[in-house]
Amino acid sequence: MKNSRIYLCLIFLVFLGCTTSKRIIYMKKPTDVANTGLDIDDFIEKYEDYDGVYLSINETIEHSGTKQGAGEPWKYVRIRQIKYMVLNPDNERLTTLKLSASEAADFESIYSRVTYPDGTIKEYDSSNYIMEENSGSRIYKFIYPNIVKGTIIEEGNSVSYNAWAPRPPLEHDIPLQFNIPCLSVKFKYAYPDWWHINYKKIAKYRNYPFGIEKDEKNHKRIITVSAQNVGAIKNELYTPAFKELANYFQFMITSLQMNGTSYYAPSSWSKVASTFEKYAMKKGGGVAGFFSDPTKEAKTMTENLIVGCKNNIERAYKIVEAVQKSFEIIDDLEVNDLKKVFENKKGNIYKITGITQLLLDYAGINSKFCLVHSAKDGYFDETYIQYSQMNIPAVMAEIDGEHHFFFPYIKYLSPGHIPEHLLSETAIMFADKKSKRSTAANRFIRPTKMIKLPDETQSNNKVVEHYDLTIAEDGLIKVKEKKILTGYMSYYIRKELDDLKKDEYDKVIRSFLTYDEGNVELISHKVSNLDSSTKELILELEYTIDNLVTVTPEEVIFQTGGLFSPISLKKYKVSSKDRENPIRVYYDESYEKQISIKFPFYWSLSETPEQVELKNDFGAITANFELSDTSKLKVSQSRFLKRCSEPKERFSEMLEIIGNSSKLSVPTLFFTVNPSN
Amino acid sequence: MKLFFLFITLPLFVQNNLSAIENDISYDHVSVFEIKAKNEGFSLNSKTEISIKHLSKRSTDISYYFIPEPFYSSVYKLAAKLGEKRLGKSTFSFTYPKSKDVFLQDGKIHILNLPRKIKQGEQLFYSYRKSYSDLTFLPIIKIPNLDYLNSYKIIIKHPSDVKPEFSFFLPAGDVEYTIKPVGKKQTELIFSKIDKRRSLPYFPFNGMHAAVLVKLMRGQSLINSASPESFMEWYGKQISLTPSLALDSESALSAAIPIAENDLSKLRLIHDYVRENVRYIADTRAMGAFIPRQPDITLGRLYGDCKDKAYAISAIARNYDIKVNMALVSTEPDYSFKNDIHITQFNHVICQYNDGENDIFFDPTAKYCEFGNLPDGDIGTHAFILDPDGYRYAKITKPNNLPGIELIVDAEMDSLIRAKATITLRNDYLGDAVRALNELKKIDLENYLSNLITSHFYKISVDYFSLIEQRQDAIIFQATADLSKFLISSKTKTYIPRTPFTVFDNQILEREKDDYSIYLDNAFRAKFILNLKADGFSGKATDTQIGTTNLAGLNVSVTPEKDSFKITYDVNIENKIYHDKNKKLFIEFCKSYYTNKTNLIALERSSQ
Repeated sequence: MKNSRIYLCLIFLVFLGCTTSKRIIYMKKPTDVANTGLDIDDFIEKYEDYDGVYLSINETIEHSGTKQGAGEPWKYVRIRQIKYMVLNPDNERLTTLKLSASEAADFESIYSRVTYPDGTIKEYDSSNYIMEENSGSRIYKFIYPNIVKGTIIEEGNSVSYNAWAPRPPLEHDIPLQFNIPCLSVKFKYAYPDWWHINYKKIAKYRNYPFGIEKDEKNHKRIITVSAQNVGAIKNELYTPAFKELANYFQFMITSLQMNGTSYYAPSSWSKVASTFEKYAMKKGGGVAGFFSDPTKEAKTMTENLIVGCKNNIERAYKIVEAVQKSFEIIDDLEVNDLKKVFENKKGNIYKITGITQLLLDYAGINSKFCLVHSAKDGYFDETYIQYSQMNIPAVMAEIDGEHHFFFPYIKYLSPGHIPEHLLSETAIMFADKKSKRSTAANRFIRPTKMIKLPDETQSNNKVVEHYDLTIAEDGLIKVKEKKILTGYMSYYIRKELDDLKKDEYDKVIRSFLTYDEGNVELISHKVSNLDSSTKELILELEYTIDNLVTVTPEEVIFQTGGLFSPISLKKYKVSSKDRENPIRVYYDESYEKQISIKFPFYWSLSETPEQVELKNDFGAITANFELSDTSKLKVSQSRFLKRCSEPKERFSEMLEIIGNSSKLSVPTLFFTVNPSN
Repeated sequence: MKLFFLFITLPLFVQNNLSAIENDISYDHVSVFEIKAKNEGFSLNSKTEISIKHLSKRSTDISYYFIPEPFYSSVYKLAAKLGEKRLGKSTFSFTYPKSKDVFLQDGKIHILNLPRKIKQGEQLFYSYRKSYSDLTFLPIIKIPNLDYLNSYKIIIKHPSDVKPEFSFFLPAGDVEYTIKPVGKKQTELIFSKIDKRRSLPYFPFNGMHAAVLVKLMRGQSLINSASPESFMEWYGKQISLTPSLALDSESALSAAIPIAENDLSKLRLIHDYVRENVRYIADTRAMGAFIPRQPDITLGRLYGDCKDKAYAISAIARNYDIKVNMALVSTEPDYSFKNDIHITQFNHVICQYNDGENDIFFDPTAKYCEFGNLPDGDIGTHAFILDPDGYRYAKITKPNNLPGIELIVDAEMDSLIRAKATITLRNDYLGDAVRALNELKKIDLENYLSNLITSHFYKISVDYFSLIEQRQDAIIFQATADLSKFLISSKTKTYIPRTPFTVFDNQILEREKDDYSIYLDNAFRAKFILNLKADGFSGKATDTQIGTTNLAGLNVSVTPEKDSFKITYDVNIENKIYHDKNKKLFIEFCKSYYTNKTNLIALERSSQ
């Protein structure tokens, strides 16, 4: 009797201390007629440029459960209901259903409803769908029958999960713009009112607007975000990253408690950094601090690499290049010490970056491990402290008062070249090893500092081509071609030539020939500095062409083909009045061509082509022609496009530079023949 | 590290005592097929063991291998060993492959995910078993072109009264093999020590040395449908080859058909209905990869794949006493086994009708291809006609010999940038243009049409399209042509190229050195007429023939008229495949075409 009273009291106490946030949101199948109030013909005409239009998208995520101890288990549910009109029945994506979820998901309810233009309605549910089971996931599929233009399709699904497997996402990035127009989009996030949420700004002083509802009875808070009449995303040339333009709503959970489990998001960027530090910089078990115990091999490697280097820039470039070549990048989430990574010559990008920082340190170069924010993630909100915001590792080396940034896990990327999506971005820099850690609570936290990456890349981004042509009197042309590439162009070509067998390699080399119409006989080819990302990549080709020159008794016609400009006049028109996105050119793009044409002494050039010069705020194009002696013509051409960020209204000016390469073309040269010479 | 053989690095390799050419892998493969008598038929199972030694550094970059499980088989007992360590079950996962053409399918792919990076020199061994639902699905075995194939063994265990025979497709010349009977119940086919063959341009079989079709003979009878007769018999058991479907009496189609003029007109109506209304989505579950769905299902839900559409047409036509058969084709270069056949040789189904004299083929999957015409992919193939009265093969010839692109330009010497162009598109170009008109707008449409034309012409660009006429068999646009780079003018003459088309690239000339066939993506027929108003110019009438018109040729004729010239270019690349003697002639045409680039048509400026 006494024991049962004790038990009852205990049970009472347990439940008295339980706060439960009950589930409040359930999916409701639509009952109204889908095309009510819609003039289908008008709609079709208005949106004729698209394959479909979303009429509405509604998505809800709800978490429910008990704060402490036993009680309602923690569950979360995702409800998605969409409604769209099909305008192109041949678009498979819009006329089929495909819904996937992990095998742990519980599909509470799935439905589809098809409303045809004549008013007929057909309904379907999971009993109609085909289920494919892959390893670890399920996909429901269905093909909607009899779809014609103007058909409206509604889909809804409610999928719930036990929050222990798989663990729910603690951050959400909700797109509010799509590849077809959307009349209405609404997102709701319902969570227990004892949780805390932080919202990301999408611009300096701007959050995407949202509302919060409180349901005290059910201990629930409900965030609602919506947008109306959302235009489709358009892909255009020279456009900023998607999240720099489009609307989205991003938020994270900063603290939660459920069934006795707690989670707290890092409260500072230093804490974020420390999380990465243990992957990048931990050496051995339990040893805090990476700098205090360097490996013997790392020191030896450094000493060998920097022999003969005259200055720190050379040393740094040598080290980065050596790491690029020597270490394999693998997906490796193990907390492992760098010594093992160093010995096996493989590791994830954080460890490779950590190794590089260590080597630079031993070379006497002041260097810091950094984590960089990417433009692809949109605006950097310093108050939104989340791992996903800063997850691109880099090494910053301070050399002669300047900051240099290296990405040693990107093979063949020229040291000093900064990928475009990282230019001007913010980074967390791990502070000096000798900084004191202020309190016991902070003793495992590495101090950090915010820095900005340069707004232009430190390496050149340039292509220079040299052509030496010698035309024989029978019209055969011998060409010596030399291409010198730096920056991103060299990176791409090195990647293309990586790891090829001889016949594959030869094939790729042939594709670099500027002129490929006709019987081109390749005499020799040479690639220099293929393995050395710190140096210019040089491609040299020597070949003959036998069908560009027509020799008649009176004159000689030299059809220059692709030597001065591309043979194909294939082009893509771009319309400045239709432009929707602002303009972004991430790097200066510089392209130069130097051509020398030697011809028989008794020929003379009938007419020297005119000079070309055009300049504006976006760049410049030039072409110069000069007869250096009686039988040699020298031509130099250039196009320069400036790094910029401009509004779309200026696109027509940009077209003067990028749209007018044909101004540089000289399709034909004429020579008169003077045998008496 | 990569292996590359520039002369600047060769000394490095010599110094390090490496061989000049290092193989990537050493590959060994054994497939044992077991045929057993079962009930009134036979069962078919297989066990495959693959061993790969990773010799080069770049071969260690591989992190997974695939094991396909098509719908007609079940894969089980997967096992793997990396180095000395046996890999656990979690090494294997599976997925349904994503295919551009197929939305629903039963076939799976098993993935062997390597748990760690392979070490150079390390061996991977993996094995699996398969059971097949039918002997017909004994697969065509492809001997891969690898660097390097150490051995490929096919072992067939069979009842003593069954004898395997092998049929070979050798796309690149002879390959050595051995056939070895082992007692009365086992036959072995062995390929060994084959170096990688160099990849060739315009050659679709770079991935294999040989394809082997296994025929199982019991006495004089074939037991696995590898002959046309047995295949017809097998296929005829899967589905009726004489389907019939009565249309809904209230449908517009059922009202139109009876009043159509003749059988061909009726077929046109049926064909147009199906191609325009039945959207293409493939559901290849169960036998859906090979056997069409019942026509009432296809027409009831208005979607289906090529065979569903062809079968539906056959059924509707039969209801009106018009005999239309399904015809199996391969739109890609196919391997052929002389008199033998395998179901997987075909990837497409079209319709066949005989009007008493000729076979007429039509393809309801090509949405924008009119009745009486065929998309280029079907032309030149050998169709296997599923005629219930007796199968046969028929070569599909071009339904018409009209140019796919016909460009007429009216130009004046002093206004070459803005010449008037009339463009007529037919055949596949018609289909492409109609699709673009339906699916693209504004600048995207303009760019598409411009590049559709411009990509076939040397230094001529065409812009600012307006639609003049759209017919079933052709579409006509008016546009502006820029000939300012096409015509070349000096002080005394204007020169016009004799070779205005861009038809192939110079990689084709590499093929002169080998004996294998050339495979082009498409045949090509185009016509270009330039009406050039040229006051004060004189020129001779000429007629130039390069190559041969009915095989691969270009004809250029220059006709002076009063103050103008008419230059007519007519190019015809008749076939997609050129073999033997025709290949030599084709190469000669290509060489001559390039050489004639400097053979310009000259118009002389009259002296003042």
